[in-house]
Amino acid sequence: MFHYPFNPAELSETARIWWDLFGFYLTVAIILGVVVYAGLVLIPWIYSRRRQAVDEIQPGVIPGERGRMAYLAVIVILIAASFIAIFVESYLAVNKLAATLEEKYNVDIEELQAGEADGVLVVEVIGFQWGWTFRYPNGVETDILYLPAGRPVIFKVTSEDVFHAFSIPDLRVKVDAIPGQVNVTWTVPEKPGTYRVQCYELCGVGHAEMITKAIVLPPEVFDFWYESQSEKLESEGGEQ
Amino acid sequence: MSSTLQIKRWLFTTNHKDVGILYLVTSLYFFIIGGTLALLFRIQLSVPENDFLDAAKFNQAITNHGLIMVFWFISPLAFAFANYFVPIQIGAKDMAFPRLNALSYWLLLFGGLLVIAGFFMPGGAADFGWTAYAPLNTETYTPNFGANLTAFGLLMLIASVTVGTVNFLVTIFQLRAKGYKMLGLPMFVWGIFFTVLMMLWAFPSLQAGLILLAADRILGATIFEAPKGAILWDHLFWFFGHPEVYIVLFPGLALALDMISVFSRRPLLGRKVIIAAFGAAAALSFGVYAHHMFMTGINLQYLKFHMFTTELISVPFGVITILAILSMIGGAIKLTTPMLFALGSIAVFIIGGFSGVFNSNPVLDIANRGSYWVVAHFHYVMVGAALFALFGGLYYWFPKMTGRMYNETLGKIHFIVSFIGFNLLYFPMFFLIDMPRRIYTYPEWTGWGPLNFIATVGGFIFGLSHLIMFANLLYSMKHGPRVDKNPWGAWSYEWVIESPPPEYNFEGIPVVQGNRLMVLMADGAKPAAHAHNSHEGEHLSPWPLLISLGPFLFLLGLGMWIAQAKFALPLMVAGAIISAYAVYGWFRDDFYERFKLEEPPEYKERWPFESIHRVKLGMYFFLFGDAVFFAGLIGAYIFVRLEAPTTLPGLVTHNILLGLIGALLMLWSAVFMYAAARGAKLGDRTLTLAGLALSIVLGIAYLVVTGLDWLGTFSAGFTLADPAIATSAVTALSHALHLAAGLLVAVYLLLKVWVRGFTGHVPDTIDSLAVYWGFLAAVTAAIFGVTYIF
Ligand code: HEM
Ligand SMILES: [Cu+2]
Ligand SMILES: [Cu+2]
Repeated sequence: MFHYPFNPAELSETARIWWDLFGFYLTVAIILGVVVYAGLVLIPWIYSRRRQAVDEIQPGVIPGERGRMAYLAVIVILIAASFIAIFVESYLAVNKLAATLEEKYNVDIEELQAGEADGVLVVEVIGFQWGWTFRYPNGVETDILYLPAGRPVIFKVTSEDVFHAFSIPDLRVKVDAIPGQVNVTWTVPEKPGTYRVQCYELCGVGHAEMITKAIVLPPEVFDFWYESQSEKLESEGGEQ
Repeated sequence: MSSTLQIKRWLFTTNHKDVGILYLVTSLYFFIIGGTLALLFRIQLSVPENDFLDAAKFNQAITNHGLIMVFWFISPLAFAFANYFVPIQIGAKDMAFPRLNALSYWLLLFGGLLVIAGFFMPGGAADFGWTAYAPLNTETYTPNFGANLTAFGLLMLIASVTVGTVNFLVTIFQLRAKGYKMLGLPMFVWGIFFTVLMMLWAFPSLQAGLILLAADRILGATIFEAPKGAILWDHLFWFFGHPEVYIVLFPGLALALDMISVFSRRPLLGRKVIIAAFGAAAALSFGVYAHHMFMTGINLQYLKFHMFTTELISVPFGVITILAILSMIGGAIKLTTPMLFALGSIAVFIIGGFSGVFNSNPVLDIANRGSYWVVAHFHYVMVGAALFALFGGLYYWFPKMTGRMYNETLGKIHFIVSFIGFNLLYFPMFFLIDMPRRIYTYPEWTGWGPLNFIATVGGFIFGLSHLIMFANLLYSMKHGPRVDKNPWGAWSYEWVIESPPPEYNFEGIPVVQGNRLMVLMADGAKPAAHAHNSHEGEHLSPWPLLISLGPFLFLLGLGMWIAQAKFALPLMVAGAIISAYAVYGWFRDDFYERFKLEEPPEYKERWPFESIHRVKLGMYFFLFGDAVFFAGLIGAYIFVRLEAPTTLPGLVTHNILLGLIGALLMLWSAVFMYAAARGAKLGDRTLTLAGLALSIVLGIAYLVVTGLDWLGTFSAGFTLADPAIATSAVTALSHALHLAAGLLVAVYLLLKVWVRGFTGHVPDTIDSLAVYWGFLAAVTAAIFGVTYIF
């Protein structure tokens, strides 16, 4: 398992959206940061060496007003411009997160809510103190999350008791697991492998143990696993 | 001064500088406790699969670390300086309400002690994190009895904060030296001004949340366990929580600006723009809080709006930072210890602010939320920006408070070591973006070990570096070289007077002429209050201490009683007796007008509240805050009615007729209170007495009728298990307690007018009480309109 900042964007569709935006933010932060830190370091360095400068602070005298309006306005406008750039980029990313399923994978959200979309795997995730249950459409319940590579997966996340947060960090999946409500999120895992699944909200003494695995399988392998689980379930049901 | 007098002075003082020192010592004491907890859990985290602390202890340690550092260290440290220096900087001899100022302090201290007492309760202290997410915070999931004490302690803190905010607002508005315009005030005063404004509106939301939580934990309600209870807590908590983080930041940031200006010998660039930026950030801070709820699945449009405002708020902060840096151009900069701390504060604030913007949208927050990235972010802003600036302030004002100089070399060493330690501690956490917060241990294969180890090493360097400061300051207090009154060549009022400042700050009348801060000695016209306000004299009052001690003992006893511990009942009884006696004592002092301290209004600048009496102004501010409290409670009722389909409307659970009668009684009670105020203004004693008496009777009648209605509700089989019943019952109960407190004051005023007539502040007090009554009537109408009809 690789970790930040090295886990690649190719692990999932959501990871790609995340890394794109992160890269943008980081670029802006580095550009602005270099300028601001240069000022913060150089100005004191230079002006602590000059001793003959005018002293404009006098005991018992309220210091005067400094700064031309035009000068100040330029500063405010420059900062506001970077704000707008950041906002626009974030706004687009949020929309992309919402729209990608529909546009790229032709998943009809309305059909999905009616419970019948092709090619989409819907997994119910139930958090409890202290562990996870994953329930598949065929009724199989596991405590390890099996996912097919290359297929959209929808997570319907809830909790049996307290507030948890369901996450597969490397795939950039996270949503709160809250009792009494179902939160929905999605991803498209792209690379077979084993990833960490963990709870990200303090939920009591077992919080650190709410950790398990997500195993992303090649689609054929996943189908095989899924079928065999279905059969197992049926035969168990028959015995009862 | 003999030692008994000394003890008496520190326990009973109401002098703002003494109170400031009490705040200072207390906050540093809590800093040591909170810091020790932090080092303990940093040891636990330093290597994978460690077993130094178990999960339960670890959770208690992080929870109380957060609570203590945020509520009992960093803000109180800022308010230590605010108490000491704001009155001086504005040219006042004390706060507007000195006794209330002392009360703020004692409530704060005892609230903190309650939280710490939680460690000694069965089950241990609170362990659900400082954010206390629902429903983990309820009794079902956190049976620790210490958690009750935490809730009580926080409520005492909120009481302290409420009293304090009102006091500071009235002081800043009405006690400025004649001629001192608001815009000329030092940035630190502006910082405190915006801080208390935010406090006034933010804390009541937490108060509402905590009272509802107490109903859950103690009365068996299930508000937060019901469906959507978690979201309700999120709204109430973060509506408070986001402004709270700026409350922590503002005093330090503003102080850093003052220090930067003084040590670069340059006025700030664009002062007015900076002040406006502070104001904009303060206002915006109430509309960004849903950025803490990006992953909760609430309405996406709401989240997008909060994403917008969160990113917008970086504009004012950017403006402040950049103007601070540009201000130094052309100066003759002196890199003294306070200046280094100020610059260090700005340096880490930049990283903290940038990382905050990274959290500002629901996409990047997929990784950030609940991870060590967020831990790094908020420590850069809270510990970095706020703590560095405030410790800088400690060095900056040390010569003023003691008359002696600290050791400059040691000061610089402290800065360098703590700055390095700080960055070693928190910077690695940005790389732990995939490690969840608040886990007590982690497996080796995660690869988080090395970065955590570095952080722990940094933590020890940072923590221990402050010993250098303590040693330096403690030694220099007694043995440092003496300095004159203005070693830095600074401009504001505290540097015009002696070090340490005399008891009343100014040996004359502070007046501002043009842009000059002066103290006029002319014709010896010292304010009359002077004679009374001495450390031995009549301004000492035992009541602030006792009025806080009483509830402390009572709540401690209550917490123990719930836990079925020994000695609980005697503690509760003692607490109740002390509280009652202290209230009686305070009233008795007022009855005989023993406690006088007021500067003649004609020496003061009071724009924009020239003609309004300070008590009434204070009442207005208090009610502005209180309105948020009731809005929180009634909002909670509406929320559960909308979100939980099983709850019943008030129409079913209440007797509408009784409710209506109650509302009308309360309305008439308010009308008569206004008549009493009118009588006081006209000097018509009969009218006032009749008005007060009728108002009291009707007020009591309201309580009886409402009580009957609730009895009916409960005997019809409705219980607090229904969240709608629980939230409305808590609202009604809070309102009734407000009214009961008001009735107490009304009875006191009735007696006083009857026996002594309109002396002292009586007319203004009745006037303020009428405002209060009007507010309570409005709340009654809201309660009736919402919780009975909807
Ligand atoms: C430009 C300014 C800032 C922005 C845009 C910003 C943004 C954010 C966001 C979006 C979060 C939520 C992260 C999450 O939980 O996933 C957050 C958390 C936090 N921020 Fe900031 N922030 C800023 C400045 C500050 C300042 C000045 C402080 C305190 C002095 C502060 C203290 C905190 C704290 C304490 C938390 C975490 C609360 C918790 O979950 O325990 N932030 N910030
Ligand atoms: Cu958890
Ligand atoms: Cu926030």
